[in-house]
Amino acid sequence: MRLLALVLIGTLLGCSTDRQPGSLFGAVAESEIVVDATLIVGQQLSDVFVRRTQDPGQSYTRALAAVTDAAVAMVQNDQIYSYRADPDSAGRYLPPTAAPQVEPEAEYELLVYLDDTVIRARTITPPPLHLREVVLLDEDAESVLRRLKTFAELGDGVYAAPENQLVYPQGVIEMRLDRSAVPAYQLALFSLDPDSEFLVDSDILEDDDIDDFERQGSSPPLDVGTGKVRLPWFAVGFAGRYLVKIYAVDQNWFDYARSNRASDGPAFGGLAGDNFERPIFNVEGGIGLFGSAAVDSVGFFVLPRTGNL
Amino acid sequence: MLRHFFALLLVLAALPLHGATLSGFVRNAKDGESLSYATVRIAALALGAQSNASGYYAIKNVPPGTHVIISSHIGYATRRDTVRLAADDLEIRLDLALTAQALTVSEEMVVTSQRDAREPEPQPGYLSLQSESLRQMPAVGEADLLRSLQLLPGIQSASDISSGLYIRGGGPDQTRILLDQIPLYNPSHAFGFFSTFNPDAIKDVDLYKGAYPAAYGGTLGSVLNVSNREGNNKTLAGRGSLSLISGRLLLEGPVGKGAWMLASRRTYIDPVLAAVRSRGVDVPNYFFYDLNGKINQRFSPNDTFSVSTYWGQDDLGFDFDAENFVSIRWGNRALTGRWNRVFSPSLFGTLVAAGSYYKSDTALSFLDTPIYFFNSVRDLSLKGDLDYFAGNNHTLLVGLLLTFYEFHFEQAFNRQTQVDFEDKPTLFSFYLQDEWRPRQPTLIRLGTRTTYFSEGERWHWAPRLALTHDLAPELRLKLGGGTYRQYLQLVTTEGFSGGDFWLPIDRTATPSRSYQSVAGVEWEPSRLYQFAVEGYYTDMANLVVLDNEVSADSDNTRTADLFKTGGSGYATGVEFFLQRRSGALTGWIGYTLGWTRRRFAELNSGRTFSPKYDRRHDLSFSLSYRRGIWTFGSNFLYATGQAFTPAAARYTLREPATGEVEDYVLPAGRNSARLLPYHRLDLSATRAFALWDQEAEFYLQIFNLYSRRNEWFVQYDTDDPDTEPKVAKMLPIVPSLGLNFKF
Repeated sequence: MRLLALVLIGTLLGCSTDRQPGSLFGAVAESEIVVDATLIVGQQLSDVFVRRTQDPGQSYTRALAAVTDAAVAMVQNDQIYSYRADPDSAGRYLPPTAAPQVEPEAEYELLVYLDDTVIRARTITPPPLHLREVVLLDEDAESVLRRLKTFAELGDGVYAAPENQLVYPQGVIEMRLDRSAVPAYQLALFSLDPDSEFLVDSDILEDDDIDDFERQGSSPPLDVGTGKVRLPWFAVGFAGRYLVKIYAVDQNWFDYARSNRASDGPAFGGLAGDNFERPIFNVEGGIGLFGSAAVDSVGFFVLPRTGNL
Repeated sequence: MLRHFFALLLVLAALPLHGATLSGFVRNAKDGESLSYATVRIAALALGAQSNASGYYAIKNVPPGTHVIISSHIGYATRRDTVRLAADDLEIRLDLALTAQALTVSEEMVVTSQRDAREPEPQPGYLSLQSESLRQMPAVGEADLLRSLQLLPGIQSASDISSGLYIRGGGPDQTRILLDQIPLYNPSHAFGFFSTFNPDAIKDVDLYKGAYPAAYGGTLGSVLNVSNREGNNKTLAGRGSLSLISGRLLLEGPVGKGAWMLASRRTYIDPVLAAVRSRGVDVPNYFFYDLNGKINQRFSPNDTFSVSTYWGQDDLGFDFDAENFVSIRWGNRALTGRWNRVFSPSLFGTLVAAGSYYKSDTALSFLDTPIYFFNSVRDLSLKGDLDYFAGNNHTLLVGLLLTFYEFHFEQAFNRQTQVDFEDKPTLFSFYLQDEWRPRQPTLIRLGTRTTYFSEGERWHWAPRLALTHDLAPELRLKLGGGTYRQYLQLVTTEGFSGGDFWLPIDRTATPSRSYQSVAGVEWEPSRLYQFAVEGYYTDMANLVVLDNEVSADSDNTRTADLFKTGGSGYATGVEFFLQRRSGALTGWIGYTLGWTRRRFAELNSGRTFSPKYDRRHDLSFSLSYRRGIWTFGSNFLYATGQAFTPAAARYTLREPATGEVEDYVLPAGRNSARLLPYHRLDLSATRAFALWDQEAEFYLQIFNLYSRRNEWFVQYDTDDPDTEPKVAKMLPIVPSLGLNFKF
């Protein structure tokens, strides 16, 4: 019995170790090159950002992470577009002034030369995306109440169009498209009026929650197998103008979005904390994202409760 | 061909051989419950047998004369009967009733070995638990079977709030859990905190930690078979318990030529929560209940029929307002009809028709956006087993299992159905097993199991082997091994089991497979002590893990789309177990040294990694000390830290859809670091007293006495320039008290 007690006490004493500083960080992967560029079909070649990773145990600054001495180029169909460093923004590289528009269903290669290293990534741009229509459904009968006006029809006049005036949270907003052979779609939503009224009146939200409510957000990658995607009202919290973009994304964008989102928080079907996995980057010699997408959008106006925006 | 085989068995069973057959049932003298694995022997003739799962035994080739029959079972007084066999006697029916000992070993010791000095249990990795022991062990809140099992070597838990079993390097998805031979697909209450097993209703618990015999199948790793009480066929009796969390009541008694048993349990936290809500505090409403019932009738000395049922439900509701609510309900239903028949003294059969239904229903609305999940598993089975006592050197077991499954999974978001999956596969299994004693100190269990699964139209053959050999009177060698396959995959979330669901592996993936081998030595220098060392190695292939990287609205339901497939792995280790079985102080010390690894092409860049529950060292003490009317218990656990994935770097990247610049942490190798060691000490004190002239006891239990906040998992916060690791912790000290009573 005494021996047992001694073993117990000894084990307890041996167990009583505090965590050492930095012991929650792994082998440091410092100075890995991070490329950041997304091409949008029909728009001019986009900027490229080049940064480095930093030690997670040290205080992090984006300015220090920026890489300013890389040579950056984009290649498409044997055409080479050399980028120049932006003198006003460290780590940002600008395309040539006369850079062409991004073509659909074309292959682009990003090359970043730094020291003796070449970082490469490739993307195949999706076909153009066109929203067939955006409708407001009756939430019970699921019948179409009305069709929203598009930018193609009215330009920025959509925000004043009667059809595009919405009352939170009435009806279901549904976007309809002809699905193409892309890996996935993704929505992005923007509240364009920065000081507009917060509309959500719910007991579950506290003041901190309201302060943290984002005016922009994105969905997880979506399959949109039926050609229809519905916008949830929980993503729309403010009165005023809303811009909703829908992207048909390439494989790189899809791989990154689905793998990085899975690491964000609790995932289903696993052990607590067990979903922290390295995202899929598809970048040779570095990490980051070089992706492409086709995009279309819709705008609407959410009426304020008080009459004041 | 099968028909001919059974006909042959029936003919063989009826054939007279040399001597007579002594057979019958072994039961508890007090309440008539059958006693499994009791030993019945004729010492002078070195003949003996062990009663089967229904308490039936048969000893063949007993010569004429007067014989002393010695029957024994751990926890019961040894009984001696004298029988006289005439020369023309072919069969003698001798039903035996054993009496529990006053200071019984089974009440004090935590684990029983099913080994008698003459009749060994050949299966390595096999454990048997008595229900009384469960009630004595310190627990969090109240006694719980699965939590008690987590204290044994080779068995771990992932966290304080989970009752999931991680046995010899396998997860909860690799353990088949049966209640009266019917599977329970989510045996947990309170989000995994408790199991669905009512400790009062349990009669026997058989756990095969690995290399299980041919009579079982369908899982890669282990089998836990819980048998409920049959009911007291002597007198009306009952027992119950009141704890801080729930109340239990068991009633049983004789009826006709048999008995009935009804055990119920319900939490009463909901009125407390309602009272809190009435004061304006937002708390959810939650309750769980379960009901176990059984009735059996002996229509003849050779025919027993029983019907048993289980009914359990968890219900969580949180109504914030009209646009925001959560409702999660999950539960199991099971109904089993069982017919035992003694066809002849040497042929015992069981026919079971059973149904099990598990359902989980989640409906929630967040800011007026409805979300809905539903999944269910329906299992209808027909099972037949025959035990043929071919001779004193051979016992043949043969059985069939036919199961019709129905899986349903539905998911809807914002009034749009995203997934509506239904599948109705069929499983057919046939097994054959021989327990062969080539010579006295050696017992071999040789078996084979053949399975057909309709998804993919797959046939598989699985050999099984177990051997035990007495190296010396107190020293026994055990070996075992086999091939195992799994056709259903459990998707479970550690922190919340209410949404657990099962899916069949369809033709787009290969069913998981394991090869298991186990070797061990048991030493029993006296009836007081047992020491065992057992090593195991398991090789796994075709593993699957849920793919959380699919599109949120994907309606693909093929296995290849839902899971990352083609995984492989292994688990190996050695367990040490020292047990003191009787006396004022009883208990055990267990230690496991183990490794487990996994590999998936799509995880960790295809490199091998440790799953989270890979723990190198696992040490446990469980002790019980009885002094007069007091019983003190303690558990101490120490385990080296679980694996986690640390951050290796921090980087900045724009969110491509919004263009918003965000900071992220880059993971290092998957599970390449370790949390701090886990340890805790639990204590309990129980005082017996008389309550209205009936036995009662008051107990106080303290979980995690020194309130060590063991680490659970790590997340990283990049809101500030300093990356902040946040370690979620497990439970602090949790005291509980309650009352047990019986009448």
